[in-house]
Amino acid sequence: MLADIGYLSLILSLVLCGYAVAGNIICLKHNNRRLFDSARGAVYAVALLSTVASLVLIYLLATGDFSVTYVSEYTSSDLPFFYKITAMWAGNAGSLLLWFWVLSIYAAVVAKGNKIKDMTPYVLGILMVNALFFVFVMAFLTNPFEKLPYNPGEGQGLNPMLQNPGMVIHPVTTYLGYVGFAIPFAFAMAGLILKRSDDEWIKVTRRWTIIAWLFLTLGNLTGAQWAYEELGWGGYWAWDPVENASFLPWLTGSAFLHSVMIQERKNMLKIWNILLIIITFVLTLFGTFLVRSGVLTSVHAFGRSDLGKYFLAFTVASLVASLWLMVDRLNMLREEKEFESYISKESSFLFNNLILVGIAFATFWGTIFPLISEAVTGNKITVSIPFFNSVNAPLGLAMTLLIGICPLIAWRKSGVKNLAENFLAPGGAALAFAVVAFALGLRKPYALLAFTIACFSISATLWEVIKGVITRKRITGENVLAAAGRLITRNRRRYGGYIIHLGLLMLIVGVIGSNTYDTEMVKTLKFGETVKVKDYTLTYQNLAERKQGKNDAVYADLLVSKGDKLIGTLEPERVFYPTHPNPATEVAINSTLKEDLYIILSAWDKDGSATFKFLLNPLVAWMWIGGYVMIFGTIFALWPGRGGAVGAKYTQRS
Amino acid sequence: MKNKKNIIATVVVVGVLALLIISGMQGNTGRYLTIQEAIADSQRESGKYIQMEAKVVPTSVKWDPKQPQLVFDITDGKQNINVTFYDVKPDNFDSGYPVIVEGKFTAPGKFLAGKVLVKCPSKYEEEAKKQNQ
Repeated sequence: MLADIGYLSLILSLVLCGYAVAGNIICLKHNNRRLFDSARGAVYAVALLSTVASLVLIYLLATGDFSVTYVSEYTSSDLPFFYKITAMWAGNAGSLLLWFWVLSIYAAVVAKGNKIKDMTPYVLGILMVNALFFVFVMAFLTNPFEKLPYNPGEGQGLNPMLQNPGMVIHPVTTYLGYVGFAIPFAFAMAGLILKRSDDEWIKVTRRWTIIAWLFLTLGNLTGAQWAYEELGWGGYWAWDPVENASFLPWLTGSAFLHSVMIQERKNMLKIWNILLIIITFVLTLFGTFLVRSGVLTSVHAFGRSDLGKYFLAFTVASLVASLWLMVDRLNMLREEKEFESYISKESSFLFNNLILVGIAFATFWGTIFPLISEAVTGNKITVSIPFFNSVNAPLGLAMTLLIGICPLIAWRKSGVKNLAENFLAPGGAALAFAVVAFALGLRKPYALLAFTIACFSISATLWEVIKGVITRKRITGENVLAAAGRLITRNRRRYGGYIIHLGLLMLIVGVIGSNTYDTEMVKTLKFGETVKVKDYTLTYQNLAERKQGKNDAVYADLLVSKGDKLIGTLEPERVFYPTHPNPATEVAINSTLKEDLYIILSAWDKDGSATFKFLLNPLVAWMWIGGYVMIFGTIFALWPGRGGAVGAKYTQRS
Repeated sequence: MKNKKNIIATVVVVGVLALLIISGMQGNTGRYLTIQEAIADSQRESGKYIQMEAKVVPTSVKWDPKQPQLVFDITDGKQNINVTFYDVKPDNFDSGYPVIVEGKFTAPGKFLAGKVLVKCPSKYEEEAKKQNQ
């Protein structure tokens, strides 16, 4: 009964989405205000209906109505309440419903805001076409409310790996980010349709873009953290097609965020900005295609479902339509100006963009290469992890360097004096770091170079802030703290950006450390036996079993000390879930700012001997700290109120 | 010409990118083969990096944690390949899910895996089952 209400909501949504699309188009043709209000009403109604459908599904999951296929496939009665609800996005149909829910609410917010009156109908029309596709897929291809012919009385349970707090936040934030890029895309297309070449669409959608980027950042971050803590292989990123699918729009979205600043300030890069937002949006669709088609081999085993071809068709259609529109309007977007100098802030933005897009292209290339090679030669040739690392590491380092260079150079053109003045302090800091690090034994050339570049960019960013504080102090006569506080809170957009950069640099430090100085060791120990992992001494003390709710866990006790200092007992375990045939690894991590000691309990024998895998991952904690600093910086910049405005335009009169 | 600086910068970056991609592709690619193709291939030449996806023959699994060493056969239902893997047994290995092995043939029918991945029974598993029925 309740499931029928859910399905009915979907069918009604389908009709209303269609009506909203048609209404928005027709109201423009005939300039019909009443029809526009009615179409806008339809957008609100779709948001309401998607909410009803989602709440119905959540209710069915929470109460364990196993007569509904989706509920019985992804939950069981012994599942903790929390995970019953999060099972909404554990499966295909439910995650599509979540996507649709988010999209329709975003659309309703756009309709309510009605920021650019003549654009709104187009924007809503485009968003509703998008919503129409998702609701069509659910209504006819994979219905989340499908019922079983009988009630099995019990469900199959949720995959243990998804029973983790990280799995709660990761999918939702990724979706909020993915869907968010639809808004700037819709505005960009509306601007093109209306033949407007100004940057109002950028101003209105800036918050949307940053919010989408914020969520996508959080999604990638929590995904990596979940993989590191839960999957138990010691890493956080494997360049798997599904990981790449969420990394690609993040890269192009980051490029877009930067390049629109050039358009805001200098009226340049108009075509490039349109192209970037098209690519970003299409990549979000491509990601959903990749996840649901099974065309690529991924450890995230997808069924080869029929859905793939619908998603591919929609992705290609969106790409072709938007590119065609852009090409048709190219004349209007032509720009008069060019960069005055390679050594200018705007050219550093250009390089930043080229590098981000370069990383995106290389990642995309490696991801789809098996498909290309199969189509061309008939042989599926796969590209392994070292490819991604060897291509993206130099590009990433170049970008890291640019983060430091950009704030140090002036708009338009930097003189030698300006350069010398600004580069002296951070350059000196980086050089001093390199000498000290070398003296302390950091001898791997790649690692030394990478850390030095990161150090340069961190000092440059801090130096930029310090210079601002000194200037403000001199002008206003405030004390240092007041000057710093006011400077930062009154220019939140700018300093929020610097906070994000610092966070990213910390994250990069973590990536460099964990990729260049990691140690790995596998060892079978008897009771009382001791093993040394670098400076750590570990003694295997005990192997035992305990109940964890409905699950049984086998755990090993390892007494860990470093030098003379006792750290404590670490307990890696393997957990047996009643609804799952195989035990899941729960690693034990002793995390410090310097390094993570990461222990996996692999196997045990009747005589009590156990096999462990020990990993020493340097600086990993900085990845998570840096990631959350990025999130903080983004929220700081976004926070409404004074200080969030863009700086002055820097266009030259010619 | 307008935007000359733009174009030069773009050409330079694209050139570097192309070089990086081309050099990155050397030695970091492998062929994705079916069991049948792999067996045919191992007769002719060995030592090339390949990937295969297959089922594990449950009775063939020999796991020696002391080494650690994992030996098992993979099969497509007709032919088998013997795989050796010097690392800990991956999670879910015994669950009957398909595995992806990556590595090289050391002799015909003898495969040394550098990596064994179990296709994780993730959220789309149920769809897969339905498709197979």
